[in-house]
Amino acid sequence: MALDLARMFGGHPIADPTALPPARKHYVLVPPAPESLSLTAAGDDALVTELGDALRNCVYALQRLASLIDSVVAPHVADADPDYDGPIQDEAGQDSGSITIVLPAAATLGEAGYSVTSAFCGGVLSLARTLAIELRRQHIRVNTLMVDQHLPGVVASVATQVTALMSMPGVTGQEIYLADGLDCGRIRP
Amino acid sequence: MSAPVAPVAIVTGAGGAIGAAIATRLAEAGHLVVAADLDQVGAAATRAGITTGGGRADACRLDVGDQASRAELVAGVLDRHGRIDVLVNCAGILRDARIGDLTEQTLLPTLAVNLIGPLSLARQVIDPMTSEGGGSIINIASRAWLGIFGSASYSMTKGALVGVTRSLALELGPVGIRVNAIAPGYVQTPMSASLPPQVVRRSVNATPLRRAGNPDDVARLATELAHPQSFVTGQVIAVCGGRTIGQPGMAEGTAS
Repeated sequence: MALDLARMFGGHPIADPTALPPARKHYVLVPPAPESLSLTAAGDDALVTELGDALRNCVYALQRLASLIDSVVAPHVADADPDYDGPIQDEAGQDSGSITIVLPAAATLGEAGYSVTSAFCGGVLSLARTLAIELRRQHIRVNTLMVDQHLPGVVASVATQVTALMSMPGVTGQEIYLADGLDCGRIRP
Repeated sequence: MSAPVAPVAIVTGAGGAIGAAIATRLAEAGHLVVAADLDQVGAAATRAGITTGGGRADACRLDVGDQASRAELVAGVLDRHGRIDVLVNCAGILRDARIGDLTEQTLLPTLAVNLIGPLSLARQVIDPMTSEGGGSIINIASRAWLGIFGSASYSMTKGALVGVTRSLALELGPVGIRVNAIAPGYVQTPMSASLPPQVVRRSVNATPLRRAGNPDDVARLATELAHPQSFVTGQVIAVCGGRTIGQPGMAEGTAS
């Protein structure tokens, strides 16, 4: 059950502001979740460092990624009212870009012994939902993949799904599970 | 002859509107309630309301974001009352910004009060609850866990509470500890009074039951979740007048 997604897929360390990735249209964020950590084993200091700091780093990483995507929308339009329910592409059918966040499926669904990891995943999932709502006026799409790391050919499956999401205009705020179906019968968070 | 032993319930944020309503209902259901709040005057008022009505209550100062204060609360309750059966993590703060404007000034207190504090208290009550053969942990989350404009750090901490609720329920079910979350929609309280009026109007208009929630709507559900015979665990239950199922409408011809 190792929560090794970040290492599995590689990428830039998100805690380090000097490691800014180059400006791109599409980003994939694999935030490092606290490893198999249960609340029963996590003292207050561990909660602050393993959970609080990890969530803060994730907020700042997403803040930077969103700012790196050139918005195709003029700023005054982007700042429009919170009720914005208009299109998320310009007249030429272009969006500004997308962010795909990858989380471990097991801890997101809930797993005994992983309560702090699940807190992290739940926090990032809700953050992604809020960002999908906030960034749609800038025509930036935010989707989340929940990945079972033990799927055969998991890296290729994730790459296929991520690539597909990049070229799906209009699709935002969605949560896709890449899993083997043993989660059927469970309510998703 | 000694009085029958009452189950002991800790309610954080019990000086606030929702916390006070939960504390009051739990006392009516026979709990000895420990009303904990940073606002000692508010906590004392909640205790006074309960004892005047014939219930049993105690009031404590708690800075939920402070490690020493949390430890002191749990030790004090065990010292004075000998057991802990119910923990309601109700204390929370609403302080937020859109993602681009989020700074440490918002993030740090929101994480400390809405997430680290509740999780720390949950951990500290596990052993006392296990000794009593079980218990009920109730985390007051928010509809914001489903995503809400301008609320990146608040929704994140509430989503994290939901996440921990699910895994902890799986882990602690076998020892009889149930863990649930309540996700209220817009509830009229002094805390939510800081929201702009157009936000409130929009919220009520988007609610099938066409009203704002009140603290007792949350308190009645919390009391059921606290019931020792409850078969409910690991759930996040929305108390939102149906807002989370979509936009209300009116079918053609049914308008009067």
